[in-house]
Parts: sequence; structure tokens; C-alpha cells
Amino acid sequence: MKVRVKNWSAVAVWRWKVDDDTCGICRMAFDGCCTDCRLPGDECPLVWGQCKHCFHMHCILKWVHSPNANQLCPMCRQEWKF
Amino acid sequence: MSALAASIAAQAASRLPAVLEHCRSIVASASSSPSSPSTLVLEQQRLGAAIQAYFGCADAADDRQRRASAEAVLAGTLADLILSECRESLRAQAAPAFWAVLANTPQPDQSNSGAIATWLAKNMQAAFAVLEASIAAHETLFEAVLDFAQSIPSLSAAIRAFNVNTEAGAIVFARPLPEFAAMVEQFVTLSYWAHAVVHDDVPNDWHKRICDDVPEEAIEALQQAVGAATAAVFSVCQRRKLQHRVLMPFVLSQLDILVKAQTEAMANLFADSCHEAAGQWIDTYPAPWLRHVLGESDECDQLISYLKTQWLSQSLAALRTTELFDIIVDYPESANALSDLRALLIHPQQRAALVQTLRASFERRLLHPGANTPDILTQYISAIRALRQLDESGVILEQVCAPVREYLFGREDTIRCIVSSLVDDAESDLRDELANTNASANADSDVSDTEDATDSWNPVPLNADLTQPSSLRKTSDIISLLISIYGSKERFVDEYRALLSDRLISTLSYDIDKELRNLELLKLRFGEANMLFSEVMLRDITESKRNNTSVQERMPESVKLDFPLNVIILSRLYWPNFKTEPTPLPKPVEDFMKAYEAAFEILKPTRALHWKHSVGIVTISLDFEDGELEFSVAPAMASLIMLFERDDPWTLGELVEATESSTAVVRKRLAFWIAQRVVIESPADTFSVISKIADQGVPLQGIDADSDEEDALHNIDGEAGEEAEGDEELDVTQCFMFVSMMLTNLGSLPADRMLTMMGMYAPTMPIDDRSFRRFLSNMVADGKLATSGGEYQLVK
Repeated sequence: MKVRVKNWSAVAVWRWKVDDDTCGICRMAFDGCCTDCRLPGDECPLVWGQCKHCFHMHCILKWVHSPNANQLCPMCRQEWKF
Repeated sequence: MSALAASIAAQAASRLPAVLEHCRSIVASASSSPSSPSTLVLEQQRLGAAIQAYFGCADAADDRQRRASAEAVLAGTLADLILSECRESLRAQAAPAFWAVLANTPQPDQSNSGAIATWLAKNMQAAFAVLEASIAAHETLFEAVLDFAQSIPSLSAAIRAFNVNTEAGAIVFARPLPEFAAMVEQFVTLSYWAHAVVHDDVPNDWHKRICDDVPEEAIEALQQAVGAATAAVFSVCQRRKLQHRVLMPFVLSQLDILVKAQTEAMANLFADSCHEAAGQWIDTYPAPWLRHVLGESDECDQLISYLKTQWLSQSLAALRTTELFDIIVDYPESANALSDLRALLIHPQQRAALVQTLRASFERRLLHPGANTPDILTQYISAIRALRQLDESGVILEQVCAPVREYLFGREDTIRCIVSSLVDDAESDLRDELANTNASANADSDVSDTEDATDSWNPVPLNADLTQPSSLRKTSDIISLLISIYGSKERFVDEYRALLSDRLISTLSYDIDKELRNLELLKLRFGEANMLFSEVMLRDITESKRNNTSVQERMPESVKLDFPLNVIILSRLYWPNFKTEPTPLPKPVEDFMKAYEAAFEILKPTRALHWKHSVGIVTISLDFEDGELEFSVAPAMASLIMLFERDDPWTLGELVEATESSTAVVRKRLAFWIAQRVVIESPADTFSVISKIADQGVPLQGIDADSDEEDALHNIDGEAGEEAEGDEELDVTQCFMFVSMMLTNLGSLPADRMLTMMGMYAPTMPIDDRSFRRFLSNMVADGKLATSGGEYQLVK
């Protein structure tokens, strides 16, 4: 007997390459999306600051633009830089 | 008639006038010689006493009162004497003459209908002719008596109340021949036969029996003879007011037979409106016959209208009530039968009986383990539609279907059936219903009671259960009704997620147009927020398609496979949990996947791929010496059979080692190939592959292949579920420990949340969404957990 494969559908899942599970700002899973988005992945990307902290892009943008945040990373209080 | 009748008349005439003459002379002599009462020779002492009293007070001429009362007594006594003479004469002459006709002619053999018919036609006609003659003779006599009585006013008043017809009926039929009832019954039946045979409407078996006994050419003559005889007899009865005494009971029983036969003839005719047809039938057949039998009269009209509005109608209503289950099965073809029933349901107790009967037939015919869930659903949906037509208040539906809903709630696969018929390709009622978006608005919100209350106020029937919200009763939206079985939408949404996941993964293409269309419809129904996950799932598929194309372009030549390997990349939080298990894949596939992973990371640098080896679908073709067999199976199945390509035979131990799985898992996978008759176990625990398709052996192949093919496809996560069952003992204890700790600390939790936490605290525990939910519902059934509003809590 010989086995001939005609077609193979494989399944994989994607994950962000990040140590934490959830965003420090919105507390939603990184692999999901921020509270303002509906679709995860490219539509709701992650960003890493120079301090190595990672957030949903939408979350950190909202944060740094808010008047009280003084452009600081919410985790380490260093100045937030992309 | 003549000789006999004439003799009766003569006898009657000879006796009565003598009495009358006598009376006349008594009265005459008494009044002519008031002073000599002793000369009176009285035949009857009573009359004598009366006369004496009369003349006694005549002496005291001044006492008018006494005289008047004595005169009244005399008149009364005289009247009694005359009337009893009349009765005696009827008893002595009319009755025996009538019965003699019937009794003296020997009846023919009962088995010969033709002979009976002829005999009855002849003798009934003769007997009633004699009766008519003798009554007529007595009538003439009585008129003479009345003439005489005119001269004495108080006598005339007493006699006038006497009715010859009534008296004759009472006297003649007071002591009938024992067989007379049977004769009349047969005669009435015959008369309907003679009437109906002309119109070709012959529901009784007389026709058949007569046709058996009578030569065909004689039938018409017989029919005419019977027709003439019945016409004669009925006209006598009408003239002498004998219908009630003689005919009525048999007319009614004949009608009963006709109504029954007609009802029977309408059984199972759901396509046409039988209610109207029944009315026409009455107008055409029984109504003219009744007029013929009873004559044109108010009574006859009343009987006909009773027959129409009550008798046949109720009989038809009862028939349709018992047939309602079948009517529902046939709906909408049976819509006419339903409008009939609707028109015929006029008494409240009919509704109650209908509910009871239908409930019983649902329970007997549908709610048992032998019925398929889709069949129960189809019937339930049909019932919703049909009973709406019957009763738009929805009360009947509510009452009849309560057990159905309860039963469906208890069936495990109900949700799956509902959801799959919502989205399956095949034409189904529910799919049409889903596409019918008008109704969808009230899936969510309660229909407010006020809006339809304005112009046509239709009170809820008495038997409605007022503890139930009326909105559910009123909604005609089938999907809402089905969803309301479970109280909430969540379970449907979850089930749809599982189903969609199966469908997306088992399709080999990236084609999701149809699923997108379904999703849009479901969004309308369940709300966008509830359907978010499936939107993501579908987007994953389209993204995967794009990514797959770009990744495949970047793949190095060295790992290229000689078959297409397409990858679906999922957003893991939005799909049901897949149980992953070690599934070693063929080396080239593993290499390809590694390269794919690397290429993906070039494309999306911040993301990583994690393979779900055991999930997916592989189409393989097994080439044998004499042909090939094609299968679509889970990757684990494919890897297993590929091992046999390398080496043959294998022992169980070797296979366990090669696949890095447990014995139970390997056995289960082998069982699939054994069922497909590709692998043979011989001797025990040693497995080898057949070398020729011819070795498979033909029988059972067709049946097995179908069902197992399905198994193989559902293996995507079905297998995981089944295996969880295998290890259940271990799982349950451990799992319950975790669950009870979580619930002790946090009070109540939804299943999803618990599963996520389990994933955190017990990552090693092999558990997936579905087996976890099954575990939870088992715990609820065992009384260890309680559930409300989708959240679970410990039972204290």
C-alpha cells in the first residue's frame, strides 16, 4: 500500500511575542484587542516603548495624550518613547 | 285495501251509532218526562247515577247551581262513555287489522336483502293503507258524534279535545309486534337507499347486499317499488301524525349512520375544506330525504339545520381533533383542514379536549427516545405554524407544546440541531425563517402589550395560563420560540461557535461566502455583540488565505512538498478551545511547518505561530495493487496510516511508541481504519494493512463508510471529546477540586471564566471547552453544582 497525500489543511494559532498575557492599561488579553477595537491582530497592534513595556497601541496612545499622564509609561513612570 | 277496510269501517259504524242512539234516547226521554226517572233502564250505573242526580235536582228547580253542576257531571259521564266506546272500537278493529297484515304474511329469510326489501315494500304499504282506512272510518264516525254533541254545549266541549289521530296512534302502536321495530328500521334504511341510489350516494351496506341478492336489471324496479311504498307510508304517517311514534327513532339512527359514514369518508382529507363540502352533502342527500320522510315542516327544517350546524360539524370537529397530529405533519398542505377545525371549534370544552388529545399524541408519537431530534424539531416548528393558524392567541400552542419544549430541553443534541439547521446548506424551515428578517426585531425585546391592544381587542381564552408572559404567547417568531426553550441566547451562540469552528476547519478551501451570509443573518437575530467571535473567526480565514499566499511564496525550495499544504491561522481567544495532543507528523510535513513558521515571522515580526498538530484535515489516497481509496481524515489518522507504508505489520506497543500517544488513543484511531477495512487486526494486538481492495470484503462497506467518514471529519475536536470521556474518572475528581475551589472563593462564575482559570492554574489538565461544559452539566445533574443565568455555583 502507498499513501498519497492530496491536500493538507493545517491549523495554527498566532500569539504576540510578549511575556505578559494582558495589556497593563485596558487589562484585556494581548491576543484579543483593546476595548475600542472589535478585531484582534493587525487591526489592534501592540507597541513596545523604549522601557520595554508593551501595550495595545490604541491604549498607550490614549494614555500619553491624556492630560494627567505627562507622557509617562504607566508601568515604570519613565518618559514614554516608541 | 278495500275489502278489509270496508269491513272494519262497517263494524265500527255498526257499534258506535248504537251507543249514540241509546244515549240520545236516554237524554230525550229524560228531558221529556222529568218526573219518571224510574222508567229509565240504564246500561251503565254511572250514567244512571249521573242522570238521576241531574233529574233529582231538576225537581228543585229553584236551585240553579245544583242543576248546573249535575248537568256538567252528566255531560262528562256521557263524554267518557262515548270516548271509551271510540277507543274500544279502535282497539278492537284498527289495531288487529293493521298487525294482521304484517303478522299473517310470512317474512322472508333475513339473509336475502332483496326479498326483505320486496316484502317490506309490499306489506308495509298494505298495512299502512289498512291503518289509514280504519282511522279515516273512525274519523268519519267521530265527526258524526261531534255533530250530535253540538246540541249539548258542555258535552261538545268535552268531546272536542279528543283527537282521533293521536288516540289511534297510541292504541295501535301500544302493543306492537316484537319484530316491528326491526321492520321499521329496515324500512327507513331502505327508503334512504331508494332515495340515495338515484343520486349515487350510497353510504350504507344495503346497496351492496341488495346488489348481491337482486339481479341488476331488477334493481331499478325494486327501487321504484320501494320508493312508491315509502312515499305511501310516509304520507300516511304525516297525515296521521305518526312520525314521532313510528319513524323518528329510526330516522335518527339512520342519520347517525350517515353522519358516521360521511365523517369517515372525510378522514385524512386535509387538502380540501371538508366543512363546506359537508354542508353541501347535507343539502344534496339527507335534507331532501328528511323532507320526504317528515314532510315540509318547521320540525324538519330544524332537524336539517341541527344536522348541519351541530351533528355533522361536531362529528367532523372530533375527527379533525384526533387527526390534528397528522394535520400538523402535513402542514401547510393541510391548511384547509385547519381552517375547518378553526370554524368548528365553538365550545370551550372542545378546546380543552383538543389540547388534551394533541398533547397525548405528541407524547405517544414524538417524545420518545426513538424519535430523531431533527424530526421532533420539524414537528414542533410545524406545530407552531399550524396552531397559530388555529388559534392566534397562542394559548393552544403554549399548552400543547409545553411538554415538547421540556423534552427538547432535556435532549443533548437539540441546540446542535437547531443551530445546524439554521446555517446548513440544505433547505430547511429554520433557514427560511432566519432569512425572514421581519420577525427578528422581537427576538430580543418584549413585544409591548399596548401596541396591539387598540383596535381589535381579543381577550385571552379562559384556559390560558396567566402566569406566563403574554409576549411569548403572542410572538409568532419561530426562532425566538426555539431560543426561549433555553431561556437565553448564550447557549446558542456558543453552540454556533463550535459548529462554525468545525465547518471552517473541515472545509479545505478558504471559501467563506456562505458563512458570511449566515453571519449577517445571525447578527440581525442575536445582535452584533454576540456574534463578534464569529466575525473574527471568519476574518481569520480570509486573513489566513492572504497570509498563506504570501508565506508560501517565501518558502525555500528545499522543503517544498509534492502536495498543497495550506494553513489556517487562528486568533486563539476567539475560537473554541482545541484539545491538543502529541501528534507526530511525517518528517517532510514537520519540516515544512518549521519553514512556514519562520516565513510567517518575517511577514509579521512581532507575532509567533503555534501549531495545532492534531487539528486540521488531510485528504489522502491509499493506493493498492488493484485501485485506490480516498479519505478525508484528521492529521493523526493520516500519520497513523502512513506508518504502515514504512513498515507492516505493527504491534500495538510499537505503534504507541511511534506515535507517542497512549494505548487507548492508538486503539481508537486504529478502530477507524479497521472499520474502514483498511487495517486488519490479526492476531490480537498485531495490525497490518490489506494489500488489495478486493480483500476488504464487500458487505457492510457502504453502510460503515458513510458514518465513519463523518467520524473522521468530526475528529477535529470530536475525538478530543471522546477521549476525555475515556479518562473521565481521573478528570472529574481533579476538575471538581479546581472548580469547587474557584467557586468557594468567587461565588459564581460563567463556564468560560472557569475554563480560562483552569488553563492558568492547571495547564497540564487536558480539557477542552466541550468536555468541560459536559463535565459542568454532569455536575449540575448530580446536584453538586447549580446554574442560573449562565453562571455556576456550588450547591450548599
